[in-house]
Amino acid sequence: MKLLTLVLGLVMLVPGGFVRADDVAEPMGVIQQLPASYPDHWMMVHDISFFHMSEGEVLVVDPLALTQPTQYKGMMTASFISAYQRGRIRGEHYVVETFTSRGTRGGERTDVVTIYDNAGLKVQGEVTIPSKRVTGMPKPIATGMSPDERLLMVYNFTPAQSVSIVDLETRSFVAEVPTPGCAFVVPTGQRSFFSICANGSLRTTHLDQAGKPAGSELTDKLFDADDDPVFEAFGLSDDVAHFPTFQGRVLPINVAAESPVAGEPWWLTQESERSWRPAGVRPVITDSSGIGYFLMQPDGAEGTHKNGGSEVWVFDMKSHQRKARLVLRNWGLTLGTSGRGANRLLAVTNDRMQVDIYRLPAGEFVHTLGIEAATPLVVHGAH
Amino acid sequence: MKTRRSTWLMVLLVCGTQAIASEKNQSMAGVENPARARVNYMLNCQGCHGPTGAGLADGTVPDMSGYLARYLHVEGGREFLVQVPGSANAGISAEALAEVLNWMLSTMDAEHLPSDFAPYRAEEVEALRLHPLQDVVTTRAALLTRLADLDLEKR
Amino acid sequence: MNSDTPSQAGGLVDRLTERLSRSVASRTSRRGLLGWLGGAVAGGALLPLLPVARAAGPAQSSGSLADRGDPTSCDYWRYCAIDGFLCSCCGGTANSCPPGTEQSPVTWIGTCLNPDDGKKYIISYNDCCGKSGCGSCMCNRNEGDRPMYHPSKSNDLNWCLGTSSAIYNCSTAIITGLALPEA
Repeated sequence: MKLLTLVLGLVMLVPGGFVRADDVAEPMGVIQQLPASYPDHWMMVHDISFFHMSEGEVLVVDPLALTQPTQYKGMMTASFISAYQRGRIRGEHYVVETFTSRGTRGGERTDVVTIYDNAGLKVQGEVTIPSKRVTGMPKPIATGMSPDERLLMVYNFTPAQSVSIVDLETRSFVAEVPTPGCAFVVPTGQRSFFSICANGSLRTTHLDQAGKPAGSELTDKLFDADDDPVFEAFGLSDDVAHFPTFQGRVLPINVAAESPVAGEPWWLTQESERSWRPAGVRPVITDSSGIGYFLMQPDGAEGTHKNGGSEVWVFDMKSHQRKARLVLRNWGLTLGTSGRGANRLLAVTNDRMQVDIYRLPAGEFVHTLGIEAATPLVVHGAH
Repeated sequence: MKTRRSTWLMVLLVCGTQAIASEKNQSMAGVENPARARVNYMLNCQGCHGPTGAGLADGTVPDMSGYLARYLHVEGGREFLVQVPGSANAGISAEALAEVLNWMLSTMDAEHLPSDFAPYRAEEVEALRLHPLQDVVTTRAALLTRLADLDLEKR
Repeated sequence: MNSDTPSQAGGLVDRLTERLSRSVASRTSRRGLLGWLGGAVAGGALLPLLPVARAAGPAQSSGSLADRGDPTSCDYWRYCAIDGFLCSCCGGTANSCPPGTEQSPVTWIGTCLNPDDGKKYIISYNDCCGKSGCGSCMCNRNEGDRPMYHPSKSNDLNWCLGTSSAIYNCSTAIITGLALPEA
């Protein structure tokens, strides 16, 4: 303290030694930038904001950073229980959202695909789509993208069912394709998608290069939509989309070709373990190595399919062998993943609506994210 | 239009009157158990089509009341009512679906029911369900065109 | 990972409510907190059984319907497959919408067992729309609920369709009839 006084006194004695205002003035108007390419392990945490639906948001998060301020990288708004798709090729984010001219009470409805860039998290463009997109609890297959990321497909429910096609390169709406009796979009091949029908069959819609409809076909009934329906989520491994069912089967559907090919269903559980069932908002995820993770509930029964579970079961998706049972630190409601190689992570939104991070494949608990989000029910990886 | 959308009771009354007028007391063609048919309609159809089949005012869900049986007057219409996804995909047996369809025709549009109407039977429904419509929108548009042509012929 | 197995608890929404109760606990009065939790706290069987309010709702099929329970509680028998805010905590009742909202004409319809008479009733879960989410008495039960591709059996959908506003406010549970004995 004495030293400081002395120094200050000396400075004041020197002519012109006063601290000039512009030496301490900080620059105005600085806005942070993120890298144009995110580290693979970063996550986009989608808070659907169930209690304030018009105020949803997608947070960009570094899940390995130690504190809340260092975890929180930025945010995109996501209005009215929106959907999110990650654009890896162009380094963009796509938020499929709904606005109403009178906000909280409605008015004219406008549905848009809002395009953000990675680095600036600024709106780069907006494509108006038919004001028909499905709204409700978030489902990973409510939207889908062609493998070349040129076409974005958005499931509509009015209750008439259809799919809107958006060209992400030209940032324009291309077409609306009816999918009567069938819901959702699961991309298959390069220019097709299938929807899941209420009778347990699949309806495939083919598109041309530009995204215009080019025919459709129906499969046979593949599962019992009343007694043992598939969840609205799949894990993708080696071109096979694995859909868990309420009772614990897995329906594998090969999506390499323009028409999906269903394989033989397999069980997650041994006969003695049938009370264990997959459950949760998103009960299945595959990591970047193709390993499958299923959120499992010990006392599964009619009506418990959304309640989540206490363990994550790890499966080799080729051999259908269970590799491990990970006992979660906290009861889990939904799964997400990010990262590659030795840096693979599992995100589990827990029963207190916090996001727990585990290292894969062994499942060591890392920590619980410090970020504040009311209902972070979908987590997307940057990988 | 307004009268068609009036109360459920009105529809029932109209049907009741017709049933009494016909030779078979209180029976609807091909409906063994009207209460059961109504419950199956409620659980599988009413959510979107509404209690009277009136659908939505904006046409997103078509108005079936006072119109449904007209499909039976054009080629392909009888098949369409089974093959349309709401029917074909309903999680009920072919017997139950046949009964619901017959019940809907009698309660929602008795006035257009053909005089020689042969009720749907389970076998027919089962066979048709095995071949769901590939292109519902085009098929329906073609049927509506045929129905419009039929109106012109009658004028 | 931790070796403790968390116990199986209630549904997703119990958890939502629990989380909310924690987050609001520090800035709301005790009374306010109980208001938030509503039925979730009041669900125990010790409470007196209240008659269902039948304010502006559609006429019930029978005045003699055995219909006891607390319609502001998520445990109430009619809510066996409801998903959202209970209108009975939002200015409406179990079968009517809050003032100034609009009832959705399309919805999904399921069945619930009435413990009073042991019969299954057909329940229409019409949403009330046109004002932002009520936020009170969040309740999610899923008996008979099926995925969204089975729309006639799915409570995950926002059913504010065919209304002038798509904005969801709360959910009702309207009895439309008696289910078949075998259903």
